[in-house]
Amino acid sequence: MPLKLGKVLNLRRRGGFFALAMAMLCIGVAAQANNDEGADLAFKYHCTTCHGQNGIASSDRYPNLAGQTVPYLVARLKYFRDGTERGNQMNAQAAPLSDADVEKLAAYFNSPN
Amino acid sequence: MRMSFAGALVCVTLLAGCGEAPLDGASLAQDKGCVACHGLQGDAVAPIYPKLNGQWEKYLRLQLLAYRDGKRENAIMNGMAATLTDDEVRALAKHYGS
Repeated sequence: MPLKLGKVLNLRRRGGFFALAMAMLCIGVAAQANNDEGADLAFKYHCTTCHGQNGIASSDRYPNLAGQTVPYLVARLKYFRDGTERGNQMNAQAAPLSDADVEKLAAYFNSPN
Repeated sequence: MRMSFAGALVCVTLLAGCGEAPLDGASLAQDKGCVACHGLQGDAVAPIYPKLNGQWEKYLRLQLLAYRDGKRENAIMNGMAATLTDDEVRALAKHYGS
């Protein structure tokens, strides 16, 4: 009986580990998929032309985006999309972006691969 | 001997006063209030502000000039940059930029 109980406990413990491992794998895969999507959008909307594929700009006249926080990047893209700053080159770039695009792009440039 | 030492000290002090002392970007960042949002080392104090560390020095210099001269409109930064001299802009960009 004590042996059985031990087995059950052991199984439970293993089950817990298994569930945790699966959950982490799922989160990892989801994050990766999200980042791939972000990378595709960054290419599609020509972000990478100036800001680089890894968030390091192609010229020191353009800002590096790598490492900027997601809230900052989201806020800036929406600010440009809304035309808050007249005459900014980014206004036209941000114009076609949906809220979902903005979120994905921000997540991508926060930690580009 | 004592006199000449004192004299030398005076000379050194005068010379130091005559030369343009290079601006200290770190103290300038504190004096001008940059640190309130961007931190002393360019790590922004809140996620809504941009990090400046790791940013190009030239980019920072050009943006500060654009904000100062009203070429870029920004409710916060136009006011912050309004009083900066060219030398101060250069020193701040050098302090935060890379």
